[in-house]
Amino acid sequence: MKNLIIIGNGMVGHHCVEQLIEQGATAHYQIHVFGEERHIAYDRVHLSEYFTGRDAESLALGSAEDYIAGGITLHLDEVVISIDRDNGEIVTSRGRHPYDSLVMATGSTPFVPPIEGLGAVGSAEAASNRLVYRTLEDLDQIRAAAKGKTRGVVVGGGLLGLEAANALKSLGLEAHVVEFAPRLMPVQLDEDGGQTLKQHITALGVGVHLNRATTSIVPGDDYKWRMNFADGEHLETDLIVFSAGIRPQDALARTASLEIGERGGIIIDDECRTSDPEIFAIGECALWQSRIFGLVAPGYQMARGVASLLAASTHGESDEAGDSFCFQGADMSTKLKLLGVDVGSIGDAHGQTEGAISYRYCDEAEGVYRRLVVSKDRKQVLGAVLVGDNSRYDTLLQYVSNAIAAPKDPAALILPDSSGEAITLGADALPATATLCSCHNVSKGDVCGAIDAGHNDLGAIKASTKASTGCGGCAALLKKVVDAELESRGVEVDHSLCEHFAHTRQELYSLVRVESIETFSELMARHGRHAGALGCEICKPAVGSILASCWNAPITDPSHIPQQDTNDTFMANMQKNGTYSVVPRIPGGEITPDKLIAIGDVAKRYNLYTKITGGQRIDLFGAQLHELPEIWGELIAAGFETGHAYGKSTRTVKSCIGTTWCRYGVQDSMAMALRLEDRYKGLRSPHKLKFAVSGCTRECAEAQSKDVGVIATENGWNLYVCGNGGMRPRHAELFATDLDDETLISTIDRFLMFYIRTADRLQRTSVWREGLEGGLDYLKDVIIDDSLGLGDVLETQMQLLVERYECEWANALKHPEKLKRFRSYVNDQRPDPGVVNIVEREQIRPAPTALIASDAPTAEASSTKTTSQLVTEIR
Amino acid sequence: MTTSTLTATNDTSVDSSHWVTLCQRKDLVEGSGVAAWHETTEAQQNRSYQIALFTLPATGSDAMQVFAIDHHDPVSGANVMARGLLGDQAGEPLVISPLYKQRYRLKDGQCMEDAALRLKVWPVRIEGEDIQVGFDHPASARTA
Repeated sequence: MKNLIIIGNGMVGHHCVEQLIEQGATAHYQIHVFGEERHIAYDRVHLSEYFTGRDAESLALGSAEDYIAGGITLHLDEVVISIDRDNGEIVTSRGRHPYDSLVMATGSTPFVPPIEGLGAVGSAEAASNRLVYRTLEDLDQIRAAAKGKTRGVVVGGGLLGLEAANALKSLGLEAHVVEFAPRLMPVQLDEDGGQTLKQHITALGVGVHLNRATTSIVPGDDYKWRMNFADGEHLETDLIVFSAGIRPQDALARTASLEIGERGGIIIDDECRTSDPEIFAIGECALWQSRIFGLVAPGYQMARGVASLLAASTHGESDEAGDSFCFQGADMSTKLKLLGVDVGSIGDAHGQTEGAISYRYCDEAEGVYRRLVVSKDRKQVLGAVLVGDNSRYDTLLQYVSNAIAAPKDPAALILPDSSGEAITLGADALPATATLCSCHNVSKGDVCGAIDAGHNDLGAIKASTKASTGCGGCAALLKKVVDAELESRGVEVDHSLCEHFAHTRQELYSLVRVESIETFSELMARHGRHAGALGCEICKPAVGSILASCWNAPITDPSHIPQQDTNDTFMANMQKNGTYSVVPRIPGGEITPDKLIAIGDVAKRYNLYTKITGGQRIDLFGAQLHELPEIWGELIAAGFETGHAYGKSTRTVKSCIGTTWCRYGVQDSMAMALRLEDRYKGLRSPHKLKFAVSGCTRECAEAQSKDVGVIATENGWNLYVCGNGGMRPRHAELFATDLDDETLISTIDRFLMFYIRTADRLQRTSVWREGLEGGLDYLKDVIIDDSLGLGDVLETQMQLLVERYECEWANALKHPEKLKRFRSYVNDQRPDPGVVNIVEREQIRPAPTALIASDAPTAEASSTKTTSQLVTEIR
Repeated sequence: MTTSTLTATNDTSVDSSHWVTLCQRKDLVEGSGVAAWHETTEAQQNRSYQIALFTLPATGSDAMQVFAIDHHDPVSGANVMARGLLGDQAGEPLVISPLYKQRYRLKDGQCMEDAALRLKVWPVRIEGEDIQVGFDHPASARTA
């Protein structure tokens, strides 16, 4: 066993240990880790969360148990004093330890500028006055110093300085940032970017003072300190946190006579070896080609590389390991949320490449700034600056780091997109080598490998590749790639409707059409995976819908009963307590007083809760199963038809009053709405269909939020399609203009049948349209220009459905056999005693479950009567 | 439907079952469910039961099958299981709750999504046209 010592237990040192364990080096090395802090390695990136509820434990990156399990000895709170290279030993505050190999991951220290007035350096007074923002102990000190104080200043407007300002803010202080440079985050941002960030931060109540060189600090008048600036200005404050940059912690290396850079930093080669080949240096203490890398990702890269070198050297033949390590610099792109403001900096953000050209977009109203740097020939994206909105970060980063050819007009990458479809690189456009997660160096290929190894969800992939477990900046991109990859793999498997059919809904639709299949069992027998299978809640309703869309036979026919979804089975909408709501069709929302009275009579007789719906009709709630036939008997006698509120089918055609009454109307929208509703009522489709007709451009019927929207013009009708309200609203798109009545109908016929033919199950027209290759233009080609020659077929198919329409409730009432299922119990007349209502605003509603005895469903009805006086049994 | 094709299907074997006729064969709906009511005598504290009866049609050599399972949906608290869709998962017959779509195995009532959920099941047999369910207690006089 050789001895390996790691000095430093920060993020990078810890990562090195993790990598050594993972790569099996623990079998060949006795590993000792020395950390000068009391805490085991923790997440410094999220340090400010220490003030917003996270404690040291939750910030910890590993646990002492992990180290023990890996056979690693962890020495915390133990400072390494010197390295005795001659004897291959280190000397700590507690003793000596021999090493064969040594890794220095000592990190950096905050730079505190030499300013007069804060007490002699090294004195206790100085320590509490020169607050810094680096470790948990620093934060404890800041917290202690902030107690009872009102104002705090951070010296330094860089990344860490703004984090520190955030920390002060979360401690309840009025925070100020004092920056020497003329802008915030001078390393990452350009002038306009810095200005935009300043706007945001000022708006958050943080004072920003630029171009301020602090010359001295003296006791203040109103606060503890007064900071005097070179330009004669001053600022008073209770406490001062210094965050004016970092300095590599190289003192130990200096005393060991390792080569040190002119301005600090332990000089390393491409293998991270210092001038002593047995000693490595990684992370912020290391100087590679005169550069210090102050981000976690490059530090991790170095840690990973050194771990693989050490692991490989134990295999005897190091070539066999195959992955010789060569550090070649690192991408310093950063994506941050500072004080809640998005900030991104990618590649050559300042346009320093020769001949580089910049595009800039600035939206002062929203506080969004984007700068794009491209090569002289505009073919390569070199870098970018983003402030106020990081949504384009992932895409831009991929352009830069994978040298993807820029679009013809590079400006499109940063311009707001009026069509709502911003340019994003599809996950499939990324090469396998593309790095998704730079913290853990996970490429798209690695993610694909994990998926191939059987990891099928995001969580498992994150656990196995570690992708997105560092800074988390790549989370959105990772999800996109995983989704796309899973989908592409699923072509054979996942596009199956379910375990019973290896077909898509569209394929099943074609099979049903082509082979004239009229029942579920026939389809299962011919095309199911197992001929006699029962199916499931996915394939049964989907096939039921397809059959209805093709042949429109009554869904209550015995062969169709088993595959209907809950609501279709009983032709009513089941509510949470097992009762149903009933919605008669009221075409276009037009209703006679007599019919209105008839609905009222029924509602009263059966004690139904009554509500006007958004679709201009009336919903009657609280009917029990056995009451449905009686209720419908009365409604049909009064001239009503079923409203199909329960089906994935045509719901309503909403309408304004149009020319008949309205002084603005230009067409008879009422008549058109009635015509449309009469034509398409009962039409079953992949999902529900909503229509509307407006009589003029004022659009009172809100047709542009419907699947099919019709708006009157002076010359006829404009047709809009694929709109949607609900969870994800989508404006309908103008499809055709100034149509006459007949052309309007034939166009809608074709549109609907084409949707029914090609959409996926439970896919609204809006989502279907968005997934349609070729988009709206393609749809116009097919429907209006008849590019597929389908027009007549689609119209004929629709005509068949229209001719076969029959009110399902009227049909069911004609067949006593169909009604036998509408009994709460086959052997008892009583209503379900589990249905308990209370009265609210003069109508019934289901009693809160707390009011129903826990065993009510199986208890006698009488037992529920004692629960509350509010509780009234309705029947 | 032939008279001999109905089989008792549930795993629960109750040696000393009290077989109670809940309904007639004609009351069942093939490929779907109906609910039945059952209550015990006063001596047995007037317990009442709501039972969902599901009928799987005969296929090829397999006889028609009838399952008896609790009508109460433990997730919604409503008595609706008989109105659930029938299905199968790898050939295992299931009923899918009509409200929140949990799947329950017909043979033993086990919920496929949640190990903690299990519906009560009863053995079923047919005597002539009678559909009988086996309880471990005598029936009340008033049950069919």
